Amino acid sequence: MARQVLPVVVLPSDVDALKSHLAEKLTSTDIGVQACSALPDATRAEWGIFYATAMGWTQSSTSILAGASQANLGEGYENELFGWQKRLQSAGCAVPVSDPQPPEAPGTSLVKWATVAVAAVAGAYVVGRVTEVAVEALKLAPRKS
Amino acid sequence: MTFGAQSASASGWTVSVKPYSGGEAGIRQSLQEVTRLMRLAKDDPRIKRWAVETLAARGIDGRNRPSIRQQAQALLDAFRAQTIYVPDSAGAEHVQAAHITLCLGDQCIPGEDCESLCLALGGAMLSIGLPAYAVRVDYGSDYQQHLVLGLTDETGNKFYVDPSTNKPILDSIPGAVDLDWVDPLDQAGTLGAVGAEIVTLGAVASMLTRRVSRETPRKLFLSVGVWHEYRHGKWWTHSAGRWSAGLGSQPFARGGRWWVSVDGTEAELTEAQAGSMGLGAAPSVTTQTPYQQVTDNQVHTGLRYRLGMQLTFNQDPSIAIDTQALLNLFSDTWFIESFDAQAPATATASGSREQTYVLQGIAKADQTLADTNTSVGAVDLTRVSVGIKYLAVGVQSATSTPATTAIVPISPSTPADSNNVSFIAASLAAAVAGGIGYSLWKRYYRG
Repeated sequence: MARQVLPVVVLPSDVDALKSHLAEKLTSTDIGVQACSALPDATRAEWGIFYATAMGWTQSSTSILAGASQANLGEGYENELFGWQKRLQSAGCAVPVSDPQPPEAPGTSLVKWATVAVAAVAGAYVVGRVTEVAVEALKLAPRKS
Repeated sequence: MTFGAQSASASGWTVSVKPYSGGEAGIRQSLQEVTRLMRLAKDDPRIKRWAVETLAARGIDGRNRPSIRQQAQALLDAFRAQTIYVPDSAGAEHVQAAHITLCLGDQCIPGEDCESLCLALGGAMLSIGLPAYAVRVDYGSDYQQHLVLGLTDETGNKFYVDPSTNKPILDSIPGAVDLDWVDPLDQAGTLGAVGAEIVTLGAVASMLTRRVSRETPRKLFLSVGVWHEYRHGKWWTHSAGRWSAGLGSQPFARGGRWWVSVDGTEAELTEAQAGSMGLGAAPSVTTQTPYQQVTDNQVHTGLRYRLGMQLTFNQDPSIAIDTQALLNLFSDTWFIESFDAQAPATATASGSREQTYVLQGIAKADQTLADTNTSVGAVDLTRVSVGIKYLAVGVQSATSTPATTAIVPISPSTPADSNNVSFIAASLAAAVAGGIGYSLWKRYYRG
């Protein structure tokens, strides 16, 4: 989701999709780790900690307000998983190695920004009207002499 | 004069007689045949008509969003009403097609054993889109194995349907040592390939048949709502109404087959695809790192354990306690992957209840497991005392005394160039800024 000039708008559904993809990749990597008898216990334990933490995150509920920070966290896990997959593969374990940055479909970001713009215009109108009414109400309010 | 299967063939029945292997190979052979016929049954219009008419007769209309369990129960009831259970004939493993069991053609045998009953009902379920699997039930080496149907409901919970008995729909199979879920869609379908296929009824079918016969069957994968396809030597992803070439990972082997990860989604390669990439037979990875028995009850952070434990309650746990309350006893120190009761709770002479559980999970902290007494909140807001006695501890490791110095990092590094922004936050900020700007503009120009 990152690596673009325009900030990337993150919907809660984007975070859920990120969690789903991450869980799938964690599971397939963990299957490879479990099948890798030659893996030293220290490495296996470090993987276990990462797996448990990242999988715990994928199973957590998604906040509708903190989409950006959750997306950052998910991308962090994806990057770390990518590093783990390369490390495990070099240790002789049969695990997948997948690009942590799947390309966003062309136009998706523009559509989201257009949606933000529409929401902003509608919201601006509402905020503007409320502000006007509040100002008028203050003017009409009886003042102490 | 002909007898037996030859006689049936002479009378117009399609009969196939093959040597039957004994033991595990024979079970696999039966299971493969069951799921193959189940898959073929789902595309049989007669089977689908039976399923649709059964639901309609019970007032189930897809427009009122019936649940998967409701539909499964309706089909199960109707199926039991028109079939009986009989064992196989002596010395033969007999599997018959769904339309024969349901008497939907010229041939009718409305009674069979668990395999044929499961494939007929499972085929009917698949024909109306219910996600039915064939589930092999292993009760341990001293007991005969069984076959039931497994489904997953809308909330992701598994349940089991047994057309060979009068049992209600079950959330678990009591006494089962192992459950092997087999996806009928993994079997070769009408086109001779696994995966999705298009089935068209009516005049268009002949055109479709000609088209399919000219082309190599497409290898399509649906994952997380996105279609992927390997074609012309590249991986393609269907997004925003069009296909675009994607990036595939290096192939990796799992379960004796080759896989790739395409744009974050895993897809299995056919032999032809693997061959075109210069890959030979995939190494078979069927063994897991074994669990070693731990004798000192020492637990090391990050390793996967299986804990056999006996819990003793002062009340009946099936009534008094929510499973989540029990999980909370362990969730601080374990990432719990499974927590299963091995049998119903039994009463002791002292009036307490004992139940054996197996917890599988990853240790979140170094610890020494010691028998203990504690309590958990009951559903009626009282406290239930729980005694925990560890019966056996196993660790997934090359050695029973793993020496680890796992470092606990774990907050992942946030990408340095992250420029994500929350949709809600962006909209709110833009709306507030725009609103204030709008007000100022109006005051400036309109006084």
